[in-house]
Amino acid sequence: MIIAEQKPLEEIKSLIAGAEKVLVVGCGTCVTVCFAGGEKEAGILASSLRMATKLDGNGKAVTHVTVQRQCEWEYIDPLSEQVGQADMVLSLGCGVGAQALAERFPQAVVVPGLNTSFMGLPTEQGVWEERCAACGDCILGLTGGICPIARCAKQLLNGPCGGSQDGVCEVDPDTPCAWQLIYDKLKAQDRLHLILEIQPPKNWSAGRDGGPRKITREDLRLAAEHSE
Amino acid sequence: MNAKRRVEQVKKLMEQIGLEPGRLSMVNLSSAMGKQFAELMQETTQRIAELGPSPLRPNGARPMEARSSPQSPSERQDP
Repeated sequence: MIIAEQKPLEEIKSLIAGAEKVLVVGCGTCVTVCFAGGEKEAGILASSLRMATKLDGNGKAVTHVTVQRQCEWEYIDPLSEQVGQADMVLSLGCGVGAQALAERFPQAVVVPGLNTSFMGLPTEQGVWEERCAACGDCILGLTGGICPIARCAKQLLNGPCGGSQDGVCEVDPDTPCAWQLIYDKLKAQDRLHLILEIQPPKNWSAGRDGGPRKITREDLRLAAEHSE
Repeated sequence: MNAKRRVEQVKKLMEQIGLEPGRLSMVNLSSAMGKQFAELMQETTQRIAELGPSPLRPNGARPMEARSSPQSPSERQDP
């Protein structure tokens, strides 16, 4: 899932400084699960902003609403009236959700309340770690299900490097060396021959280096929306 | 332990909002520690009195009559 964390209250206050009526929009999907922008967090933030702006002497009318999924039109369309009544929309969705609101409601001023961080998972309650870099050309089948693109600081395809010491990455003593993990996993599975295969340079054009990405599934498109 | 960590988190949030974190505290007591409970309540009352009325209340204070004549639980209204 997408992992995000809330911006500091001071930064959010400065983002909404020019508005009197603010609508906080939470999202019921990824950012709910990572406790950054769900219904509970939207309510707490709206209440915090009402109190903080009142104490600053410029109390704002801050209301909140949470949609099931902020990144799909059908879930955000019902917000049209509430968005129209607000001077500013403070999105507690990920960057996709905030952009969906901005795109669907062109007149609305949309600002982000979260910093979208990465795609990952909770390794324990309260701890989230990155697992996927959306490189567009998955190689997990060669690496024992451990991604060196997301988890190796150098994104090496033929690791480890000399900075791997006692299974730990030189970049951060709390970060395990991805290639040590890959070696241990392949060894346990008796598939170490995979690590001996030299991987050629990766096709980065499938990732961010190729510019904004788009997937079109003709089999799923509605006939009326076809340009043909 | 979870409650204690959450109270600490709320105190940080209060500070960011501009409220004194000292208005909130958490202590662990058993039901047999009546004397300590009374002492802690006195300390808490004194600390909050020193902080003064909540700046979020209109004119910064609750009406005197509400403070001098406590309501029964059925009459109480949360702010």
